[in-house]
Amino acid sequence: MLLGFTMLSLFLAALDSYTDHLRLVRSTLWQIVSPLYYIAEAPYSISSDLKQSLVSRQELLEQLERQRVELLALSHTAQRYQSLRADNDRMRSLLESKAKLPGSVLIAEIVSVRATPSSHYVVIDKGAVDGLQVGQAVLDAQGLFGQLVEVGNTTSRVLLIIDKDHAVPVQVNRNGARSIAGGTGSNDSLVLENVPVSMDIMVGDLLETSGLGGRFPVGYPVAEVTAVVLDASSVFAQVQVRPLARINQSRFLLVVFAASDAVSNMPDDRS
Amino acid sequence: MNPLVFAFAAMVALVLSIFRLPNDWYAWLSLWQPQWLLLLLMYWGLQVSSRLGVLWAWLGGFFVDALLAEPLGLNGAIFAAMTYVLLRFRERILMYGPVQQAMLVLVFVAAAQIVRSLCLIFFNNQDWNVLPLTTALASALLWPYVYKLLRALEPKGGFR
Repeated sequence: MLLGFTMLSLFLAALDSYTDHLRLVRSTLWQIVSPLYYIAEAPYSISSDLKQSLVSRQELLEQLERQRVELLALSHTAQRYQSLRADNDRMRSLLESKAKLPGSVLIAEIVSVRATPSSHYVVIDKGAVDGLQVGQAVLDAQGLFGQLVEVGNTTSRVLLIIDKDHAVPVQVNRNGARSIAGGTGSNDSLVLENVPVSMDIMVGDLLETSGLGGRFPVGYPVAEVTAVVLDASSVFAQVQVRPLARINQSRFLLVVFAASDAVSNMPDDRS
Repeated sequence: MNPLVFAFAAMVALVLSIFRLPNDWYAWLSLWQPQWLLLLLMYWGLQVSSRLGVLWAWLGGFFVDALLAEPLGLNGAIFAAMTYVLLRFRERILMYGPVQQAMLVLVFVAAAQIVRSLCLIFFNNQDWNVLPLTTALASALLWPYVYKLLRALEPKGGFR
């Protein structure tokens, strides 16, 4: 009997890991157990609420001032962005390629964090009722944060880009050289896989999502190159990169809705 | 044990197993997180469970899988195997003193955690780590107290 259970379990585990057939079972179970994350996180949310209600007037004023300055700087960037985007769209239409449409985003708050040496994910407070689907990209204010791997009605699980099980197709912002950034399990590093020594990549380069593979939208910043080691004995360069997202500190995340279903007003490729 | 009391204890164990320490605490502390669920399971196997215990343990494992984002069935297999052994040797283990029982817990939890690590390496592409040993040690040290606490929650009538 015990052998039967074990075999069945192993079979289920393999089915769950390598195929998609058990998604319904998973999401049902997730539905039942996910409220426990709210309970486990209660001490933190309560203490942060308390802290918030005990902030002094002086501090609030300072914070407001700081944010005003930040907003001014950002709105300057946004103004520049508008004209740059118009330029870009015009040039793309000259090249007869589709315009890059920015996707819409949904703001979600982190309910719980789980980081053991073996797995890194967070739970957010949005789910299927908000229109989320498995596979959507998740950003924080700085860069790519992870992707949705499990969606319940009102909570979802986000696998972080630093998890060992995660990889994201990237390109160098400067020249479009492509690679894949895999997680290492450590908070402040990713690793580029199979980078040929001839590839043009330097310390300080910005890596953004390349959109290849179709899972992540194109053009979101992912990481910055911190070290390039060329080893004569290897055909691959060892490239260390640091994720831009503040894996440890972000409280609010953005879930990206892909823009593929949005209507393009740019001329499509005419045949 | 009253099923409601046990359900409450199970919920507490589930919450404790996903509870995290504050960010600014020492990171190594989280390595020593006791396996509350396995402790509760051991108590249940020794004191509460009946013949169908293996099946219940197996089914309960699925909720743990969903909670911890591990491959479905992994914890079920571990729980079922543990319950089976506990039921098989229940009378003998109950005769042991606290220290011997704690050592047994050390072995059980370490074995369970090693199996889990192996499966996670195989299915989820994870790395080997020292969690099996540290968590097993922490669990073993806590066992006598957990046992006493759960024992105190039993009805005083002496039946089980």
